[in-house]
Amino acid sequence: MDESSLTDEALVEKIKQGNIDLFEEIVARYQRKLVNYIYRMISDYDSAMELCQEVFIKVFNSLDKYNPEYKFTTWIHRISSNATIDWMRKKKLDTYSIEGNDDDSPGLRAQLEAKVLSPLQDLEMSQLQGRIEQAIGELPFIYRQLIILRHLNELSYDEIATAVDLPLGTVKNRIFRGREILKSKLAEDMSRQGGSKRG
Amino acid sequence: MVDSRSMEPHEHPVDPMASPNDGDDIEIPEDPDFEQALKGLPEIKVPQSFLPSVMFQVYEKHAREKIVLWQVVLIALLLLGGACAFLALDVAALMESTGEPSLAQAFNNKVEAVLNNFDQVIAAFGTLVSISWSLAKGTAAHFVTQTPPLVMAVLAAALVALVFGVRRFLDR
Repeated sequence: MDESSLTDEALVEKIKQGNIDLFEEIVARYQRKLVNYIYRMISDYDSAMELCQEVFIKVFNSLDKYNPEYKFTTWIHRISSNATIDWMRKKKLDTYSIEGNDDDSPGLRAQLEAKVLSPLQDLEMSQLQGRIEQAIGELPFIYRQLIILRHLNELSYDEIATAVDLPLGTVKNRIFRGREILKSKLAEDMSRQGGSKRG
Repeated sequence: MVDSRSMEPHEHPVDPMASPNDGDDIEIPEDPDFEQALKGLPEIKVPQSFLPSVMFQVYEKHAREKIVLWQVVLIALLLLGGACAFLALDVAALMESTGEPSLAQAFNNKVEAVLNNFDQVIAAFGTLVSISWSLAKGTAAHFVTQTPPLVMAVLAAALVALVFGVRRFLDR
């Protein structure tokens, strides 16, 4: 049977029965999302890879505790979110901080996937993306986490609420506020850019 | 060790801008431009070695869990039994060939012969190591005294470049 046609929950059931090869399919399905989430939370490529591996091993070790009543995607994001918070606390990174990180680091640039664009488009696109990346990095932790889960990992509000263990209303409020902060940061940045060009 | 806390609710940072009606279920207006801008963000590439590396750890963990103490003891006993059987056959062959009537004496002779063989092997290995060391020392001394400094510097640079190249290749 083709494992790619199985749902996450069905895969987990088969893995629990001893078919551990199928865990490869789980990793293949979630590695991109989790790496992107963790990297954007901690802004360190090597640590993100390491932490993401740890998350998958935790997931494998904890499959027996997985309750199929909940969606697997929510559960795996919850483990990932908790591991990221633990890592940030261990590294004494302030999870309340509004300090941002320089996302134009060579580590990130080197890992970005190439797109087929003209040189000018490429430059404009890369400038805009760089500004957005930077603005996300500057968001306070509580908004950054939810914005990434909602807009980059494409989780529903309900799934996010379960993953981060917050009431649905709080999640929606924070995402709304996070978006507003992000927009105002980008607008500020653009007006500054415009001003400096005119000047 | 499984971090059980990973599945439990985590203490969450407080929202500095929280208001009393934070818990209210609000309707968030759609913002297609914003969604589009975020969707266009480039993805962080996952190295090809990521999946095999995770699966290796998974298989290792699974294999470690499957090993049971009685299996280890059984295998050890089987190996020990095999070794004893071979030794008994050897001693019997020695008794037959030398006409030694005493089992204890034959066993003694066998052990002595094995130890002598072992001594010879160790001595041969020691000689081999000593010769290799002398050769390496002589070659290095010849290289240092006879090679111009510039050539040595170029070779050293090539060696360093090779090390960096291999590291970068492995890091890909």
